[in-house]
Amino acid sequence: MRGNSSFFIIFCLILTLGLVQAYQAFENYFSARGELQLQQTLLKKNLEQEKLKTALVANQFQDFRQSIAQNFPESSYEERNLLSAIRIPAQEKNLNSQSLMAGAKADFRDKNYTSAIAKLNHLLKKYPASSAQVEARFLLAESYFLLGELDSAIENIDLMTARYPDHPLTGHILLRLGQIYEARRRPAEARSVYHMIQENFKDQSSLVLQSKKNEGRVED
Amino acid sequence: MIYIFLSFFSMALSHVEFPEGCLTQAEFPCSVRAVDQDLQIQKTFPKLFLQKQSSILLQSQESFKPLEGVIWLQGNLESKGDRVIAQKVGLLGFEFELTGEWLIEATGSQIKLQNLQGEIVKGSKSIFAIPAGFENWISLVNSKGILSQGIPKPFDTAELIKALKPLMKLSNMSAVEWQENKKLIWKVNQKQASEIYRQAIEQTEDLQAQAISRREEKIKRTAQEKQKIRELFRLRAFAP
Repeated sequence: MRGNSSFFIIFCLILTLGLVQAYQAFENYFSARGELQLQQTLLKKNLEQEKLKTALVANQFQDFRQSIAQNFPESSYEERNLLSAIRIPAQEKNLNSQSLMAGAKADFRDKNYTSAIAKLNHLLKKYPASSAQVEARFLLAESYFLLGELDSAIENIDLMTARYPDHPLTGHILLRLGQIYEARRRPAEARSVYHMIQENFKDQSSLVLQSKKNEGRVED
Repeated sequence: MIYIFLSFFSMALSHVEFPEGCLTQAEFPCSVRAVDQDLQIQKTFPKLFLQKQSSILLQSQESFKPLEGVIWLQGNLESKGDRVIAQKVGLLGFEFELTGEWLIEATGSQIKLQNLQGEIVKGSKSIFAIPAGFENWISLVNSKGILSQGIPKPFDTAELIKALKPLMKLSNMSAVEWQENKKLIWKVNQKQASEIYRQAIEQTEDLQAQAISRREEKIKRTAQEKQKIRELFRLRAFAP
C-alpha cells in the first residue's frame, strides 16, 4: 500500500514537472518571451565581452604607462607625471602655458626683458609639451640678445637649431646669430650662417632677402 | 518560483572569450572572463581557477596576465622531468615565474599576491620575497622608477578560505584537508615575520640605491646623446 502511494506521488510529481515544462515550452513558443530571453542572453554576452575588452585595454594602458615611467629620462617629477599620466587634459596645460606666454610677450613689448626671461624659462621648464615652446625659445634668445647676454642667446639659438631646424623662427633667430658673429668680428662664420639661411629657408623670401643684405655688408 | 529558477538557469553564462572560441581551440593570446560561475581553465599548466567576474589574458599555455578579479594558480613544487614547471605571470609590465600555489587578486592598478605554498623563481629581485603564508601587493612604478609595493605580511586565513572554497569545489578538493596541510607551513613562516620585515627593509634600501645609480646613469647617457645630436645639427647648420 505504502509502495503504491509513493509511486503515485512520484508519478504526480513527474507529471506536474512535465506539465510545467510543456506549459513553458508552449508559452515560449506563442509569446515573445523566449525571443526576449534570447536577446537578453545575447546582450549580456556582449556586455561581458565589452567588459573583457575594457579590462584588456586598461591592462595595455597600464603596461604603456609602466614602460614610459621606466624609460623616460628623469628630469623632474612634473615631467614624469605628464608623460606617464598622458590622460591629463591638454587644454588645461595649454591654458596655463598660453597665459604665461601672453605675460612674457607683454613684458617683451614693454622692453622688460628680465621679467620676460623669467616667465619664458618657467614656461619652458613647466610645460615641455606646450605648443608655445618654439615661440618661447625664440623670444628667450631674442631677450638675451637685447639684454646683451650674448652667450645665453647663443645657447638658446643653438637649442632652436637642434630642436626645430626647419621652423621659420629658427631662420629669424639665425639672423641674430649672424649679427653676433659680426659684432664679435668673426666674418667667415657670419657669412656661413647667412649662406645657410639662404639655403635652408628658400621658401621664406623676407628671410632670404635680409640674410643677403646682411651678407653683403659683412666686412672682412 | 519555478519560472524564476528556470529563467535564471537559462540566463547563466559561464564565461566569455576574446577572440571568440580561442579557449576551446587553445589559440593564444586568448583573454577569458568568468561571468556567472567560477571557471577552471584546463588548457594551461599549472592549473588556473578564476573566481566569477574575473578576467585573464592567456599568452601561452605557461604564461598569463591577470586583468581583474581573483585567480588561483594551482601548480606544484615538485619537478616534472628535469625541471619544475613554472607559470610565467605578467604583472604590471614585469614578468615573474611562479611555481606552486598562489592566489592573485587584481584590482585597478594594484595586484595582491598571496603565497599559499609557492616560490617566485624569476623576477624576485624587483619584488620582496613573499614566503608561504604571506601576502604583498605591487602597483605601478613610483617617482623613483621602482615598482611600488607593500611589506610582506601574514594573510588572513579565514578570508582566504572564504575566497578559495568555491574554487576548490571545481577541483574536487577538500577545503579542510587542504587547510590542515598548509597551516603547518604557514605557521613556521609566520613565526619568522620579524626577520622577513628586516630583509624587506634591507631590500628596499638596496632597490633605492640601485634606482638612484640607474637614474644617474640614464641622465649621463641622455646628456651624451643630446650632446651628440646637437653636434650633428651644428655641423648641419654651420658646415661651410
